[in-house]
Amino acid sequence: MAPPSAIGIDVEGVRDTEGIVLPDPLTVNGVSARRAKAGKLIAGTAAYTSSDFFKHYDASKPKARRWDHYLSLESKSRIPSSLKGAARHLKKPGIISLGGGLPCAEYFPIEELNMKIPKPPHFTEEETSKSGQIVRAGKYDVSEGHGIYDLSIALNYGQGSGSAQLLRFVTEHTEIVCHPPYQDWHCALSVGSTSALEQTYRMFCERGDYVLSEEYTFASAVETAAPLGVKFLGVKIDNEGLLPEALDELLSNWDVQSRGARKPFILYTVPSGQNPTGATQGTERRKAIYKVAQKHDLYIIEDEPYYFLQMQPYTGTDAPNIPPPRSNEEFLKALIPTYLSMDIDGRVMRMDSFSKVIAPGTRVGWITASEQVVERFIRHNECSNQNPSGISQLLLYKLLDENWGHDGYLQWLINLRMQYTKRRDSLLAACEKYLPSEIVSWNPPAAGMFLWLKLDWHKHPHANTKKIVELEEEIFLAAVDRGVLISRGSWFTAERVGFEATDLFFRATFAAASSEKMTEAIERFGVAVRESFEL
Amino acid sequence: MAALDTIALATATKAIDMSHHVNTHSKSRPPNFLKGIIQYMSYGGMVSLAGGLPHPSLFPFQSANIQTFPHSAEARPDQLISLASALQYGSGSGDASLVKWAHDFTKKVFKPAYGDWEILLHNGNTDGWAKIVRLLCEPGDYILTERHTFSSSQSVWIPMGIRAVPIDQDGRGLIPEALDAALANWEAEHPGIRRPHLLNIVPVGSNPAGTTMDGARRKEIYDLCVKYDIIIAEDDPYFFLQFPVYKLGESSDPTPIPQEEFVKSLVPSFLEFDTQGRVIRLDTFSKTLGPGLRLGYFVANPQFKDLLLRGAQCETQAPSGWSQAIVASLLSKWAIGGYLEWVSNLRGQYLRRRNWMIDSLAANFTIKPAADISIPGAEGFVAYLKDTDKPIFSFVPPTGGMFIWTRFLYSQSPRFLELQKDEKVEDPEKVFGDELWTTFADSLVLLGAGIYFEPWQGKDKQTTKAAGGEEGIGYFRLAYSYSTKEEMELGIQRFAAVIKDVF
Repeated sequence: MAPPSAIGIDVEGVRDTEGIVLPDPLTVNGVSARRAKAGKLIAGTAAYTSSDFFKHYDASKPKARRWDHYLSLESKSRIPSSLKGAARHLKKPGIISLGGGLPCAEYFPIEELNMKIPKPPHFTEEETSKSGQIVRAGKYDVSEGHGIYDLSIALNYGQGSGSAQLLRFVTEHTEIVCHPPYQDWHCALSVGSTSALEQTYRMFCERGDYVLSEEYTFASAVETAAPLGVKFLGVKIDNEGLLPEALDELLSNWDVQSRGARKPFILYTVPSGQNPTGATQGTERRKAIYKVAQKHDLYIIEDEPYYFLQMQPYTGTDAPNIPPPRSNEEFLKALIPTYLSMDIDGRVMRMDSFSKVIAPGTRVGWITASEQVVERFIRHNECSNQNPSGISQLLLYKLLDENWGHDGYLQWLINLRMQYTKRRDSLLAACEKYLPSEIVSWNPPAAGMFLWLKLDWHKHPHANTKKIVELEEEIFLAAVDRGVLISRGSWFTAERVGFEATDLFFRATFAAASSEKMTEAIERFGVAVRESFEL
Repeated sequence: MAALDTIALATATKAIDMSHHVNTHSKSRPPNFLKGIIQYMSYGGMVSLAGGLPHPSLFPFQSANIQTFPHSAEARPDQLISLASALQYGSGSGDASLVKWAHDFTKKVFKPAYGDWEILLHNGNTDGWAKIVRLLCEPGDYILTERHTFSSSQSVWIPMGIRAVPIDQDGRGLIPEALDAALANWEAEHPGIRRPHLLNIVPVGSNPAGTTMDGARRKEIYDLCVKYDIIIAEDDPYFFLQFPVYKLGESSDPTPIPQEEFVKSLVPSFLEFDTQGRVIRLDTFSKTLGPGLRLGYFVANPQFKDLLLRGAQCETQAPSGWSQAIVASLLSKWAIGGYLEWVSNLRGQYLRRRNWMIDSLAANFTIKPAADISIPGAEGFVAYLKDTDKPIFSFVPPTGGMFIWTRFLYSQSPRFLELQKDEKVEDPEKVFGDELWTTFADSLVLLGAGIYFEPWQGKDKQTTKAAGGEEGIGYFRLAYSYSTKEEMELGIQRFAAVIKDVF
């Protein structure tokens, strides 16, 4: 197994504390000035790192609240890895470490990696074939003076925070997008948000606790909590997702005796393009929910895999499309503010992931939260997955930082926005054409990958004799017979026991299939619905 | 005919039911509804709007290739990796070709004694071990560990309120009689507490002890595990770094051995004795290809494998697609033979490093075989201060792995005796050990302190005495994995100078 801490080499970071005049909030253009001031990033094998090295330190901002009263026994009992104490000695000039168990880079059999990536703004596969760049990562680039991150570092053990090189990028990105309003926010890499979520449950929940969420929610979030003895409790939703009034009411009337559990203090929410409903909370909705969280001292898990899949406003089949954002600034302004951006208390853990915006197979994401919470998270990383794959980190660094930069990455995200807009519009066009409007209704999603279809089951000929879930199964199987797979709404209920559905839903994705296939699939689904409803 | 029957029986052996070992956590995993979809995916002409997979045309990597080292001295291959599937969500089980490779490799090299074992990829052995703990252990449980155990293995279970039962080890690893005694007397000594049912062991190049367990010893341990119904977690990152016994004055440059001889020279895995499916083997590419890959695999019975997979689907999911793609393409190019050649060379490199370090100790101390001297508890070699008859520490030359584990006779130091006499000092071994470690660090040589490798037995058992440690004895771990030969020699010189001073 691995050494749990830095037994590596030169560890030097510069904390950005002194009188640099910085544009505040950080912009894409501000990054290069900050980096120039900080000097070349030197971070060798398993170098200790922290967001503090890379972010703007603003003493005028408040510090985050402490969450000791919510940390679980397990998390509180997590001790820093014992070899950590040795790390400070590593900075001594001339020290020889016989302490750690790092293998020697000489014995890593990969010498060089090349990959072909798009050159902004020419992002399509066709363009990349023609004009893409070949990016090379060598084994000893750093010592040979060709860069700041190479295979010898990436292939060795690393820190639970993730590598300094990629942590710098995500810290800057987070500051550009969210500019958190408190002082001591930090980022740490995760091996994806599913894993980050599981670790977060362990950090905050005890057996028997409830986690609050939208009444229909991401199935894996529920299934991950269940074996920990943690149940989900659904809060009513509307077209904009979670209803703050319903949340407030539920918490105000919480009765420990009858519920058999302490008052919930974790809210799990997917604010943009929620899975499965596709709902996106508007700015005012988020503010209102944050206020309820303050009132009841909730800790918010802001799970945002689809944040950058916010699409162009839907104009309908006949109206002309809205032109894409003309600049990165315009794009950033068009995004709905994050919870993190309004988090003056430090009560939000934001989960970002490269899964939907780069590729799921990278298995890299990151969290942003207060220093206290991030420190506990890193302790957990150290004794489980440790850190994301070094190869994934290196290639993401090469793509995002060394080649695209923040500017190119935002252009990529604009490109994704337009791609998903096109996909959504094509699915919606098919729905308008092929689904019986007297039965099926939907809200055009503003973000994400999913369309949530509501079927008016009252109009079903067997509405009086069959349960909603039975009708759902019947229609699901009829669709399968017609050659289309669509997810059943009941798969996504927050509460798995005793939940009585009052409506009939199906979830369709516009992420995976081509436009033609999607259209064909919706046509088939329309036939299945019509048959079941005997239209 | 009789012989044929035996073979037929052997290949048909299946793992026995182990469900009683599974903890509440794993048993209470709800079914994954989306799994209900999978059966329909294979229908001809089916279009799925059910999943949530991004379209591969939106992955910004078009192609990739790697330059790898040849496993031998032939031309360097240039390989193209297939990206679309590597970068997509997986089922959690990982790349099929990599799983198949690991399966074939396990069959050839580790030879499980039962038939229906399976492979599951994980994110390195630290992750694998954490998943095993979460599969099998309840809060308040006890885990069987080696007398000196790897600190990071503990950090996952200490917060779960679990404690260690350290089992004594000698130069051949865990001592069977000690294991038997701990379990035979369990009920009497721990009334009302469930008997431990999980053994965590690093049987090759034990971290920190550096010892390797031979086949005969393994058989004895395995039989005891059957007797007491124990699951063995065989954490084996150093398996291929097995070395012959060190001989004083042996050449520092070992001659390479042919592949077949190399494979034959390896001790058997616990799997080779495992007729019941009670071994979960943890293999990793960390020490053979690079830790940054965060890639390894379990070998486990089908029941455990399914539950581990179910856990992975809610936690890490499959390991990095990039890591999988690179390792899969490397291994398919190398094939099993090439990989064995690579690890055989690797072993030669680490063997040379081991010898450098022991040679360096021999240059700075007077080294005598422990068998020739009567120092209680000393095994292997005893190191004396040069030109004196003052023994300072003993060590068993590692027969595997990356570490030398030194056992210090603290009572040879006047400072220690002073601390021992001081009634205010509750734990003189710990205080002296800390002082000594700091003195080493101040003299620019960093060691692994013995205290890191003390099994956690609970808050009331933290002092050397309470934890069952020996009076006047302390340990330091010396790694020969990372530094250059020159650094190593300089480090050992500094180490010797400090010892001369303090002792």
